[in-house]
Amino acid sequence: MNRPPEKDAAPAAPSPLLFVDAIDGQMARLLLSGGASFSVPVRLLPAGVKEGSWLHASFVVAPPPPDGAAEIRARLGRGDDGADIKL
Amino acid sequence: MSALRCIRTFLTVCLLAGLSAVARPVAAAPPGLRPLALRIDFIDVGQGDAALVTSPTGKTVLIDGGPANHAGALTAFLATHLRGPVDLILLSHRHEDHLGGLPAAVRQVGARMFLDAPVAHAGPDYDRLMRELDARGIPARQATRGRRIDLGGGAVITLLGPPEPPITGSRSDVNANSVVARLTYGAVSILFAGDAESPTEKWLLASGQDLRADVLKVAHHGSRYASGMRFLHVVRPSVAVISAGAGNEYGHPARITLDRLARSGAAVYRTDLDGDVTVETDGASVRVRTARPHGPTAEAWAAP
Repeated sequence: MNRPPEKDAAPAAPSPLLFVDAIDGQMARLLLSGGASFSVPVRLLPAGVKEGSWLHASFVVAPPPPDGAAEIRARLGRGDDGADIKL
Repeated sequence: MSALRCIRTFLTVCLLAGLSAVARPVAAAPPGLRPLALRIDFIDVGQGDAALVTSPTGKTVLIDGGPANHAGALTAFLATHLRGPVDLILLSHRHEDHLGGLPAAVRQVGARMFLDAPVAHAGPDYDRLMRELDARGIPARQATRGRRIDLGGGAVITLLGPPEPPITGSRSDVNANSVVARLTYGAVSILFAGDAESPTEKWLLASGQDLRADVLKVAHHGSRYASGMRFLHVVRPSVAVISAGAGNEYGHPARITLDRLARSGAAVYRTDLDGDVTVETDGASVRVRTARPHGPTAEAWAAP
């Protein structure tokens, strides 16, 4: 892995640095400085990212989106009387 | 032919066929049970769980569906082994490695009924599954302790969990509140532990329910958080099946869990090493086959 030149080095930050190891089709393999690797869709990365780029990673806790599945699950289970099931 | 000779003959046939197998008599076959009439296929779906139960009357229960990135393996297996929709999908809990493959399974082979526990965990994969079920009008049932599912031919699933009241404040409440199911057929029992962890094991032990099982689907891919010695001592499995992905990044199964299973005396089968693992029973004995040649554990266990 080639580290970026000193002048491009990111300033110290609490967010971890990720190295864009490979881009294969719609997926990019990212390496965490601790050694872990994982893949993410390229569409989630900033524009202009290419193999060899470095990224800051940060996550923000978000409010959950509307839970449509709960409404469907409740509707599908309307006929459930709780009795034993015979297949 | 003596029982031992039958076992030896069977092992020889399987070895000649390139398969690995173990047969173990459990008790005298109850009258009216057809030989080797109940089958459970633990499908190699990578890092996840999926097992297909086929009852003596041909009824089928799919317990979990593995992760989305192995949905192709699941649907290919189901297409080969099913002649129609699966009769019941039983989802142990709402983690992706157990449900990610289910939308594709519902789409491709169909299902007649769905059952899960009411533990909220609203991810996009569960949302996709609900939409697939909804589009096909597949009814849903709730997993509750004590509920029984009659598979026909004498095979019955009894739901031992999720725990009541639900476990909270654990390392993973989603895992801790897994559906735990005990399948019985004649004198043989199989325990599906989902991803239940030690708080669930403690609850199960305190509940007084019958946990004894000849075959244990090891909880949580053999992680160190499950399969405590006290639990294994009560279950006393002869065969333990671990569903895990080859080279998975979690390190499943954990060495400490494999050691505990070895101390319990169970023959351990692993989908990451053995590929698909098939358990068959006539209600009196258990036979295990693996898609790939099995390691030394079962051979040592099977030796007279």
